[in-house]
Amino acid sequence: MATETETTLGTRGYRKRLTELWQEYLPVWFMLPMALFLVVVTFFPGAYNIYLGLTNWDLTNPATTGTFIGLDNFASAWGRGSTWVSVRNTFVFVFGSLALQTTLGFVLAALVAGVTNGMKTVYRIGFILPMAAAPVALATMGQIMLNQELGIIPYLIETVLPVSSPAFLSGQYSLLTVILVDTWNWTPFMFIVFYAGLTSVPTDLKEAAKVDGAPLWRIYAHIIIPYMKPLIFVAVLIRMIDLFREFGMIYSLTGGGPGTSSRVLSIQVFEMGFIGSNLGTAAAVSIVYLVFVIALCTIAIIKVGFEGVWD
Amino acid sequence: MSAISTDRRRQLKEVGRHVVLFGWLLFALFPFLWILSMSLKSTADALAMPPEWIFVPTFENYIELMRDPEFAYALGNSFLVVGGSVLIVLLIGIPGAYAISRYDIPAERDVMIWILSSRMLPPVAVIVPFFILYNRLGLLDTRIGLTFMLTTINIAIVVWVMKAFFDGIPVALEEAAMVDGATRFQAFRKVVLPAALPGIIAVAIISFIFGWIELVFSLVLTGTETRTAPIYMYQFIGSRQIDWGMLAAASSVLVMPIVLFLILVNKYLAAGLSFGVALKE
Amino acid sequence: MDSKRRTFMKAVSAGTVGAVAGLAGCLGEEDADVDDFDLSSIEEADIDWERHEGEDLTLGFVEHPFVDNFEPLESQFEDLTGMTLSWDVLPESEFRTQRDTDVTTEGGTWDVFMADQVVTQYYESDWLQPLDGYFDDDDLYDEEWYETDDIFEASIEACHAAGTADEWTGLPITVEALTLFYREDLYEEHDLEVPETMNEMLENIETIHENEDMPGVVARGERGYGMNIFILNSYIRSWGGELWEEYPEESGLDSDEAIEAAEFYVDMLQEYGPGDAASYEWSDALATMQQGSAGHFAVDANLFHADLTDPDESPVAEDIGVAEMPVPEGGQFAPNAFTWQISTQQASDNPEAAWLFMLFATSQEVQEWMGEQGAPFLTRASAWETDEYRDHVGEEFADVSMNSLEGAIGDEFDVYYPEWGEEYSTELQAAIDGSQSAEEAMQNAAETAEDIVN
Repeated sequence: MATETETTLGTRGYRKRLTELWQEYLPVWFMLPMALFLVVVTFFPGAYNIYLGLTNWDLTNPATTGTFIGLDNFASAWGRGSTWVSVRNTFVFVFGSLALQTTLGFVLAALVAGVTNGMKTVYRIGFILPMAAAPVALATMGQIMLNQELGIIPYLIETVLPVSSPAFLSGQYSLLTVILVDTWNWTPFMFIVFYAGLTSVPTDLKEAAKVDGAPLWRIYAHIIIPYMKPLIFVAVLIRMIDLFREFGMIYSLTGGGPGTSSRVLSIQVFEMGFIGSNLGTAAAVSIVYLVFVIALCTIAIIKVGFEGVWD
Repeated sequence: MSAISTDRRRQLKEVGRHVVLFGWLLFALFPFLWILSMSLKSTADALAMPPEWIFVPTFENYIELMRDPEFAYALGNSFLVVGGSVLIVLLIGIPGAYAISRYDIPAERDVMIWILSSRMLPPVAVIVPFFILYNRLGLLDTRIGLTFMLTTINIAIVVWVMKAFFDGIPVALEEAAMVDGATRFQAFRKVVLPAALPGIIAVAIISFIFGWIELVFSLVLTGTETRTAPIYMYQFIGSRQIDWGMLAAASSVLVMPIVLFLILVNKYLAAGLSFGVALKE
Repeated sequence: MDSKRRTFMKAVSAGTVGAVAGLAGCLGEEDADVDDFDLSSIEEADIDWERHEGEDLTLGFVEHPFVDNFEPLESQFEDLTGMTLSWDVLPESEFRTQRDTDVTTEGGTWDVFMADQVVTQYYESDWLQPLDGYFDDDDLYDEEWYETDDIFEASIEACHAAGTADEWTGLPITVEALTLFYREDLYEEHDLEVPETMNEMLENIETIHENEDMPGVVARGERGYGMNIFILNSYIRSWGGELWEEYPEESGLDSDEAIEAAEFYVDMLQEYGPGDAASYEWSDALATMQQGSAGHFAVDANLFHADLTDPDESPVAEDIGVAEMPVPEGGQFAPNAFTWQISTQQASDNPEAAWLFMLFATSQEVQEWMGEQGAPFLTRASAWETDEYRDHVGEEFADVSMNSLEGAIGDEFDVYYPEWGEEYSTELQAAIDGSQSAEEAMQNAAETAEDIVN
């Protein structure tokens, strides 16, 4: 097509012009669909939430619905003490799960990477499977499996170990239970990403270190982990964001309870909006939440060094 | 230290490794196996405690499921909608990621964070605006509407993973192709895409999983025509009785496609999620 | 019966009805019974049934046994009116999410939907379509045929915005009252009498708890405005307390009676309940009772009787006894009752067609027919009194249920009920879990409730 001449006007010349435009502005065409899509899915709900957040959208009070009330929603959302409990729980849940899943994922990946026989494939597939569990089924089934009287897990613990099983769903343990279930569910994600990274570390790098007689931990600390830094960073970032938006599993498993013991912010937002019918305060919490998570990610990226992540 | 004891130590280490890994394998698979066993028991036995480890399996629950046209319908629906959303997210996400990787995009970091932000809010926090929008546009209870929504939850992952992957593919590859007379687009299609195939397969399967288990959007935006498989399962959680056997059977069937996919593509998954690290010099 | 066409319809429309019937596990049996259903008396009613021929109604329903029981009659309704039905059936909490989204944004997707604690809020916000206009329309209503007097008083009240309005907000499809379930075999073994007072009940619970390897009692501990407080409210009224002694100033939640009732409930579950009692939904309590792993289910909806006594579901089905809710010394008999009503919304495209469905689904004929299938939730006294029904469900259950339904005092749901109810149930759950005392819980609940309502 590039050899066409421009002597005749009409379709050919026209097509050629189009082809040129296509090639010349290729990055624009490449970006355009994605950008349009993202504008719709982020700006629209974002703007709508800001609108809701600044107006009175308490559906139990129809007379004043839709009036502009400034920052009142923000004040009342954060004024009530229980929101702070949710904030604390969210932090414990997100960073507790993140630490567990990252560590476990890495250790498992390192162990599997060293397997030399046919079990490797079995482990690799078996370890990823929990990711495929649908949250409803997981939580509903989990609830009965953890039940003190009828659950298989307390039963196994009491049969195998000489201790009585903790009451997983009681207030004392509910947040921990939620973290553990999430860890079961999503360690696979960390595992597979780390496994992919570990298998891509060039062998000569490792060999060179071994020849130097460096102990295993030092090889990991000084060679492998720095090499995998970008990958670890992105995996942790993505997982962290997903933990912040986790809702279905916790809601079905504990409903945020007993009391407020496992209530995270996503459940708080749901309760404000759907049970309290106060879309205004729900939106206000959502906005603060979003701004906070964006800030957290931005700081993390700057600290780690954005260019450094990928060079 | 003699050579023999080093060997023995190595052997011991190997055994230890397998003990740990096998333990985790049991931990990872136990809930599935337990749910599978529940699906093969009668309602009265499903929750019996102490559990019946040995029992005559009954396939009643599965027969019931198969006899229900709704189940096949919901499964088919899930495949269509989730498959469609994966196609779309790849079609718009991969070129976008490529452009970000190869060209000077102003405020690249902020653009990347903006993309990531589409995944930051819990679905419950954005569902009301989307419901209102969909209602206005007549998109409620349509497959197109749900496909679009499932695309939103995956776009961030696709762009982030693929951008990193493209970063890892040396620009020299394309330049060589262009010297040979290929256009920029041809270089992308014939050189870069094949090199990125493991990454594409990996994000495709991850996106598929995220779409397959998605619930909140599917719940609120679907109606009687477009129920997906996870929502179909809800009917076994009744107001008077949870049908544990049927719920277990449906959950087991629902996991199957993912298991099959994972077995089929597990090699690519491992290679493709390396975020391009593998391809760096 | 045009069953082929219906099977096909089901395959193409994605209603969940087919599966629901499959779930009941006795398709053949139920299909045969449809032939017993006599449409003629409904057809004879002075109502223009065919006015909306050819239209389709979308129904938003909870995964409730009503749906299973109604399913075989769908074709009858279609024959009668020429309309078709599309079902949207979900479990309670997911149903609520979708209903709230649909109704509060005036989406109008559902022509008919089940309403519960939100009925007042929906009514006050003008989302619900009041039904009085249809009752007054001679072409659409025939009192001689429908007979509202036959419906239990508690249900009629529930259908007037939970007793807060003069207009009809819906028609009742099911009603349940709280009853006590216990293990007859263990009662015999330990020589126990069916309790009439709360203290007797507690002694029996204690006896079983201490002599058997199981919790003496299970009951709802989980939070949620339809969960633990649905039960506790009943205890509070039994002790002589009253919710909202004065609206909106005095919630009554921190009255002496309410605190005493809460202390009784919390102590009972802490001492004789399972270790994770605070997380118990009705489904956990039911499953535990069905597995023979608890002595009492104190107290919960009478309609669980059907599942507790079904040998296909429970190894101790033969041993379950049912009794009226005990009364504390000096208190009153006040089991809570809960009515599911079906309503239509202002935003519906076709409320008139919805009304026809609502009439049909709540008619004497349909209720009686469901009774013959063993449905334990009938809203009409006449249906409870037929010999066929009493034979089917057993005299003991029928008598206990009738007495409980007639003596029931239902909750009054104000506009803010879901919001303060949720907070109140959270406080109660925390008390059951042991992280605060029952008294603290009730005081906090009272404070929050009064704060929200004001």
